[in-house]
Amino acid sequence: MSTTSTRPGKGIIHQTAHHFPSADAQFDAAKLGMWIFLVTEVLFFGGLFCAYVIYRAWFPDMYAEVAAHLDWRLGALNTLVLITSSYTMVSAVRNAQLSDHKWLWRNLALTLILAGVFLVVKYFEYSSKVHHGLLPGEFFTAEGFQHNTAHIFIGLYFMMTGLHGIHVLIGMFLIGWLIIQARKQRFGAEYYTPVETVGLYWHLVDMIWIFLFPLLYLI
Amino acid sequence: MKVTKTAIGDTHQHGGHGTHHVLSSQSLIFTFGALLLLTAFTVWTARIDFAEFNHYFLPLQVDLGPINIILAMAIASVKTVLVGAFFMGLRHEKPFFVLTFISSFVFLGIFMLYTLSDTLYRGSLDAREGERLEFESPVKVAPEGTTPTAH
Repeated sequence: MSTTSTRPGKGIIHQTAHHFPSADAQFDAAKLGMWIFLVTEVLFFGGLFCAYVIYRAWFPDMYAEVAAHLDWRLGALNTLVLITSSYTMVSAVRNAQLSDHKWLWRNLALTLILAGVFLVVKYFEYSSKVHHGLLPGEFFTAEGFQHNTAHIFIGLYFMMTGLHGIHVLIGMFLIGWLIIQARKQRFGAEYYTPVETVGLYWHLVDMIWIFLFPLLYLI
Repeated sequence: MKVTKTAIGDTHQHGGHGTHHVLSSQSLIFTFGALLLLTAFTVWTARIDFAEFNHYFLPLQVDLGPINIILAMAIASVKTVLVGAFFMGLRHEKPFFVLTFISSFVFLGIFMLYTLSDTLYRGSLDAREGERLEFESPVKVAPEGTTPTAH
């Protein structure tokens, strides 16, 4: 049995798997896998978007009444935060393509910080909703609404932003892992597949928020 | 945000590792700026109630109210295309990857249209709107413990 191998301190240790003809073929296979995963993500969120459309068609006035209780300023702030994080993420991909190790991990760290800011803003929004009893289903205790279906909109709000928030959290773990690897200079022009694929995931999270913002906050 | 000084345009990096398209820093900044402007634009248009302009078109009997949601979704779609084309690099990606991703929205559209064709027209085919129709089932429910027999 081999003893614990000494791993190199710095530099790329990745090697092309034997069943791929070239590093490019492996890179493309990884990207195709990520794109197919993103397709399943679109359809995953699609169920909630479909529910949103059905109830909006049935209760348009209720949507307008309850949406007024969401703070569009916080929603707009979070939109700016996520778009900026998408920009820092794509800049990190570019840094990896140019083997700019210093700015690669810095841009990744900025992305992580912005993701954290997003969740902090979300925390303040959620606690305000909980405080006012604006909760899904049977937990809805707020009073003074004109429509008895108000809990449906709040339910959709929590499920859609909650599922999105879980995706942001998973993204933060992935970006954190990328930062650790980037500090060891494991990525460069020859190999940056994880930066590319996590980047694609992060942009999809941004895309979904781009639709959630007007649909939930700007009615 | 500082981007590296070397502004490589639409050039391809040549090396032992094939031809990966290096993202152009100008187009990334342009995309970022466009996304911020479109966010401001969608907030601004959401604060206009287009239904208030209905009286200008009174003889035509058109309702301008839906313009709000149509505009909001149009702006969100433009933003999504920008993110996909520039940030996700679909502009220079293999057509098959582009097709794969676009297909998800096509299937989402089918999913929504078929669902709405039910939920939007419930009750319009029968007089008993919103009621659960009572019907006599041909199935005779067997007492518990008996095994089903087929002829």
